[in-house]
Amino acid sequence: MKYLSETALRASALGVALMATTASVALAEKAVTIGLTADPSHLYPLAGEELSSNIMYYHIYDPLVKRSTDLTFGPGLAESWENVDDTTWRFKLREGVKFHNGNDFTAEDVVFTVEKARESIRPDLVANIASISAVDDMTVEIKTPKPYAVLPNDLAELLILDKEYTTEVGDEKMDREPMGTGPYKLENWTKEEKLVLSAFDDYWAGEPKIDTVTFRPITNPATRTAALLTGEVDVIQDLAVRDVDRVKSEDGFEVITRPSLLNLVLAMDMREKSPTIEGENPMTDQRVREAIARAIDANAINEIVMNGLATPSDQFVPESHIGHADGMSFREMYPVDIEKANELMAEAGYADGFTMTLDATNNRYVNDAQIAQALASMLAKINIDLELNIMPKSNFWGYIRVPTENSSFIMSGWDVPEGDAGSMYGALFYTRDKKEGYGQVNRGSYSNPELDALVDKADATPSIEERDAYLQEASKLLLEDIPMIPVHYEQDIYAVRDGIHLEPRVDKFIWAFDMDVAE
Amino acid sequence: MTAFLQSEFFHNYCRSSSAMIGSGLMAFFALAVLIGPFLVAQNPYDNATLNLLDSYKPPMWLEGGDPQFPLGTDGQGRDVWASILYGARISLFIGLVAMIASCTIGTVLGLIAGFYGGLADSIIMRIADIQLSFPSILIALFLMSAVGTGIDKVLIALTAVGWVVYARTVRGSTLSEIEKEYVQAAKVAGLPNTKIIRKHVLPNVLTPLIVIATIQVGTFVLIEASLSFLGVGVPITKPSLGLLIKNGFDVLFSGLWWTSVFPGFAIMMLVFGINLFGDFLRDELNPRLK
Repeated sequence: MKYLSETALRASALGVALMATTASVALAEKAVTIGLTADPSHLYPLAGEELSSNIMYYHIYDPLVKRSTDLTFGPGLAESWENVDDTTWRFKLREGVKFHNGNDFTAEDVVFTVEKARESIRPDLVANIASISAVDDMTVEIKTPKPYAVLPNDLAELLILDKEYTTEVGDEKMDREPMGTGPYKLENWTKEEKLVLSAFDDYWAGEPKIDTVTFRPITNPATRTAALLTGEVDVIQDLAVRDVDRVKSEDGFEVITRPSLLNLVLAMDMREKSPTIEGENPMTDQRVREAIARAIDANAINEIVMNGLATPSDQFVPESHIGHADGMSFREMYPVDIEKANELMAEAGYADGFTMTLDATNNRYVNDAQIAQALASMLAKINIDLELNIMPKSNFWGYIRVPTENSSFIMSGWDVPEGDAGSMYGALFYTRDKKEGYGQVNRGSYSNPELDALVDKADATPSIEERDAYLQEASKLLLEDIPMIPVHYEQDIYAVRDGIHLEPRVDKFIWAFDMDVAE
Repeated sequence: MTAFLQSEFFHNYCRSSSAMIGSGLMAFFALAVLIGPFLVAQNPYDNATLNLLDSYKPPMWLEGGDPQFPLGTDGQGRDVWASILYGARISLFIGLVAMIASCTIGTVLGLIAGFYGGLADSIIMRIADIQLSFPSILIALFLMSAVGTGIDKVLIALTAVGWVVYARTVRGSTLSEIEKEYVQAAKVAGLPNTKIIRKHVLPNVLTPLIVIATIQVGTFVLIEASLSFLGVGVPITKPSLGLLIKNGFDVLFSGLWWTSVFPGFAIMMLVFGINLFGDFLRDELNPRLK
C-alpha cells in the first residue's frame, strides 16, 4: 500500500473527481511533508541559529552568495563580485528580484541587513565587514578590516531582509511573519505541530517544483520512523541508525546517507579549578588528557552505538578543509590503550582517578545519550568516575554557555560549513577575552599564545596558501596538546518514500527547492 | 500464630487462588529485590563492568546469544536480566517509600480535617479537591519539570500526588468515629485531643488504608515508570524498569525486542501481583462485603 500525504491525496482525489465529470486531466498539486527532529525556534534569521531554523531561513530568504549542496559557492542574490583592492569587494546584485510582498530587492536592503545584523545577537555574521555602502541601486561595496580571502563564503550565511517590511513590523513580528526573497513563503505555523510553506511563484531562479511543503517536528526517532512507514510524512531527517536496516527492507522506501561535516567533540576544562571536580583540575595535565583520549574507543562507538554509520574523526576539521594537517590522525596518535592510559594517569599522580560530570544532550546529535553512557563506561576503566548530566538541547546551550560556570567536560558538535579551519580555531581555541570576536565559544578556557599567534597570522594574510600553512601548524599543535577530543563525524541519514527526489546537502539544510515529487 | 492459622482471613486466603498468585508474585519480587543482585555477575550500575562490545546480544536461546546474558543485553552492554533485578529494586523502593510518605502525610491531614473540622477541614479538603481534578501523571510531570530529575525528586512528586486519597478516606472515617460513644466518653473524661486521636480514632480508621496502600505501591511503580519513560525520572545510568523500557523502545522497530519486552513483562507481573493481592485484601477487610 502506497500512501500519499494528506494534501496530495486530497488534490488527487479532486483530480479524479474532475476527470470523471469533465474528462479533462487536472494537474495535481505537488506537496511534500517532511518530518524534522525539532520545530524551528525562529523564523527571523537575526534571532538565532540552529538546524531547524536554518532550514526555514533558506526557504524564506536568500543570501548574496549561494552555497551549493556540496559546499561550493556561487552567485545568489549577487550576480557577480570582484576585488577592487586587498580589502575592498564589489558585489553586483541580481536584477528583477522581488520580495514576497512585491517589493524590489535593491542595494539598500543589503546595507540595511548588514547594519541590522551588527546590532542583533548575530554580529558574528558581519564580523569581517568593516563597512558597507551602496554604490548604486544594484551594486554594493564591502570593506573588510584586513585582507580576508573567504568573505564570499561568510556572506552565504547572511540572509537578506526587506528594509521596508522589517523596519515596519519589527524584530518580534518578523519571527512570526517572516518575509524574504526565498523560494517559499510562510503559509502558517502551529508551534510544535506543523509549519506549512507555499511556493513563491515569482522566485528569481524559477518557480519551485513543489507547491506546498509541510514540516512536522517529531522528536522521538522511533516515532519518526513510524510516521514515515505509515505514510504520515514523505521524508524524515535523522533516521535512527538502528532503524536503517528495517527501512531498507521495506518496499517503497529509500535510505539516503551522506557524510556530514559535524564533528562530535569533547571539550575538557583547562582551568585550575573546575566546577564539577573536587580539588585541583587533573585535566590541566596533558598526560591526563592523553589518557582520556586513549581510553575512548571511537571505533567501538561507531560500530555499536552508531551501527557503523559514522566516521571516527582524524582531526578537528575534515580533510577537504583549509587547515587540515596533512597525514596526521588523532586515532593513530592516540590508539585505544587502557594500559598505557592507566600508566599516564599514574604518572600524572591520578592513579586512583577522579570524579567529574559530562554535560551532554539527548536530542541534538545522533544517539547522543547513548554515546555519553558509553563514554562513562570507557572512562571507568581508567578510574574516572564520569557522572552524566544529560539534558534536552533547549536547556543545554544555556547551561554550557561561556564562561562555563557549571561544566568540566562537554560533549557537543561543531561543524564548519565555511570549508576552512580558521573560524573554528578562532572561536573554540583562541584565548578568551583577548580579542574581540575570538574565543567566544572557548568552553574549555584553553589558552595557548602559540595558537593565538598562528590564528592571528592566518587571519591577516590575503593568500590562501599561507593561510593553509598557518592553520595546518595550528592543527598540529592542537592534536599534540589535546584541548579537545574529536570523536566522529556523523553521517546524515534521511529516509524517503519512493518517488521523492532528495539530494542531501553537506550542511544538512534540507531545501525543498532542490527536491521533486514524481507525478 | 495458631490463632492466625485458624482465622477466617487465613482460611479465605487459602481458598482464593488470586490471593495466592498475587502474594506469590509479590514474594517472588521481594526475594528478587533482596537477594537477586547477589546472584548476577554484573552490576549494571557500575560503569566499569560494562563493555560496549557486549551490546545488543539477543537472549541466550536465540542465535548469537551468550549464556552469560540469559535475557540478552541492551545498547550499553548491560545484562537485561541483571538490569531487571536492579531496576525492580529501584522501582519498588520508590513505590514503597512514596507510599509510606503519602500515607503518613495523608493520614495526619485527614485526622486533622476530620477531628477539628472548621477552617482546617475546608483548606485541606479544598486542596485535595483541586488536586483530584488533575490527572496524577500531569501533576507529577509538572513538579518534575519544576524541581528537576532524580530519585528524590520522583519521591517528592509521587508523595504530592498520593496523599489525597488517604486524607479523604481518613477524614470520612474520622467523621463517623467521633460521633460514636467511646470517643464522646473520652472527651467527657477530659482526655487531651491528641491522645484521643492517637489512642482511639487512629486505630479505628486504619483498616481501609491497608488496601489503599497496597494498591498504591503498584500505581506508584507505574507512575514512576511513566515518568522515567518520558525522560524526567531516574538518572540514565541507573535505570529503573520504566527507563529500561524507554531505552528499549527506541530500538523496538529494529527488531531488538528483548531490551524492552522483558522489563515490560517484569513491571506487568509486579503490578499484577500487587493488584491481585490488594483486591483480596479489599474483599476481606470490607465489612460490607461479608
